[in-house]
Amino acid sequence: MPEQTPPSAVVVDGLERVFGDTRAVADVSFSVVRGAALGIVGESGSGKTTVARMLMGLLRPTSGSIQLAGVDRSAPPRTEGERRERAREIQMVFQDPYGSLDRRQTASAALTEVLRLHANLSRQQRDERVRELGDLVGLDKRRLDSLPRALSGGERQRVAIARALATGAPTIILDEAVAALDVSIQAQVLNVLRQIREATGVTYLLISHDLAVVRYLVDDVVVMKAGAIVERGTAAQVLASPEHAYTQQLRDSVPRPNWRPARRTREGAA
Amino acid sequence: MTTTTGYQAITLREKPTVVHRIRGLELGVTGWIAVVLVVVFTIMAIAGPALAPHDPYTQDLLRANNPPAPGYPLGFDYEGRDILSRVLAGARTSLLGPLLVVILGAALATLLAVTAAWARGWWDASVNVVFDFLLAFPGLLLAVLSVAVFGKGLVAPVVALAIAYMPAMGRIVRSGARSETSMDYVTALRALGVPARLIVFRHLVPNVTPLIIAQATTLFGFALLDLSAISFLGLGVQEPQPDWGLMVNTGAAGVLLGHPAESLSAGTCLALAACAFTVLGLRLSRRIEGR
Repeated sequence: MPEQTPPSAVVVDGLERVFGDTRAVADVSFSVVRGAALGIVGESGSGKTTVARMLMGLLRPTSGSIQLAGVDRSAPPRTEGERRERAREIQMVFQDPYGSLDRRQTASAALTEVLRLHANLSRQQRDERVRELGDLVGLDKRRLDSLPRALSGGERQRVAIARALATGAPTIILDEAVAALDVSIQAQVLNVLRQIREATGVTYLLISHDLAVVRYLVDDVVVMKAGAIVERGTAAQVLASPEHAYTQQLRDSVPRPNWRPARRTREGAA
Repeated sequence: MTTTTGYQAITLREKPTVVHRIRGLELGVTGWIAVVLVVVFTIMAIAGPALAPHDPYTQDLLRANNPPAPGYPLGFDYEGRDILSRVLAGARTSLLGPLLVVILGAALATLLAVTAAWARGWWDASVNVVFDFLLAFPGLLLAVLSVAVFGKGLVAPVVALAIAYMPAMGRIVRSGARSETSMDYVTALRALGVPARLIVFRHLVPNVTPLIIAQATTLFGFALLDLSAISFLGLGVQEPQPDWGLMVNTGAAGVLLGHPAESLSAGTCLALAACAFTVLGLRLSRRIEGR
């Protein structure tokens, strides 16, 4: 595990979460350097999303600590003010692009709502910023003025990404953010995410069961199984020569030159 | 433009036209008959007093209970007033009461139910107890009781019925709001730092509004019947104000004299209006559930 000499965006130490009798997350530690991208890989039920929810302050860790940009954020925010503060530090893009947007709100209205909360801008500046965010994720004016109903899955996910960026959060969790999209759309959205990272220097925490997606976007990887980290290293190293049998298994579901999409199993999608 | 079935009726258009929206409602023939009747009654309620050919208050005891005459197609009531004019003028009082019941009831129900669905815990439990408790009381009983306490007139029964109808709406709104709160967008809004009161009133309430409208439309029919029953009993709207429920009562004398036009016309209006609103409300509910 690389020690943090440059400033860290996220430091997680000994994180644990127990639901009843099950330990969903057990002794998870990792850190992400500012501007880097970390992949959290594992099958469904491995505790990835629970880690994400604790980072977002939506769930209280049973034990362990979370630091965002050097500040302790182990406990969920208590007040509206703290909640807003946390929102400016870390954001999340959800898996399901159909459920993560209010169906009665146009894309630009959703962005405006967030900007009104997090940025002190005049009405004109806000409109300008909405257009900038739209440009950043590749949504034109017509798309921005549409309700989610009129947008495709990929377009909705772009709205969700723009909305996360609108808070100004330097760290974004992508929780299976492309898993629900078609393969060709996945590639488009992944490209957008890569461009955004180059343009803004945002830190990504990419949660995925799909190693092809991970390899495209991240530098370092941790592999989770049954709530614990079983392997970690650079993406290239872990994916090229996995040490843990579980990682090898995961790798076997990755597209290869003669791999056909029809054979891919979808069991890990949820 | 491509169209598909189901919730995504129109995919490539951002803003469906009015025609598309109306077609998308899929109300069926009965539903559309109900819509037409609701529109007719709404017009009557708004313009009825102006449409009345004669003054609904002018008495002429010399023609009391007289049969129809030229210019007076429905004849005269027991005080010699023009029945047609009184039916038209009565639309406003008869329909205004249920409207107030439904608006007041829906506002109370929405406020309690959506906050309960959001907050859960003790507040949710208390709201549920209140709903269960009120469901045990028949609306009419509560309305008659309120008249006994607060006196005759429209105000007491309207408030009593609004409270009596609140749980029926509240339960549906609560379960609708509850399934909304479990959706990712609510979690996302929370993570975005949107204050709870904005999530509740700017996101949850608009998303359960179709449910509220459907339920309120159904209950409008019930409220119309209950309020008319109260007026029929002489506890609600008072003479000489024209009101359908009251007219069914005052027309009873005419029925005995072989001249049932007053009871019959007022009663027909009541029955049609109650059926139309109830059917439309049920159609809308079914349509929302089917989504």
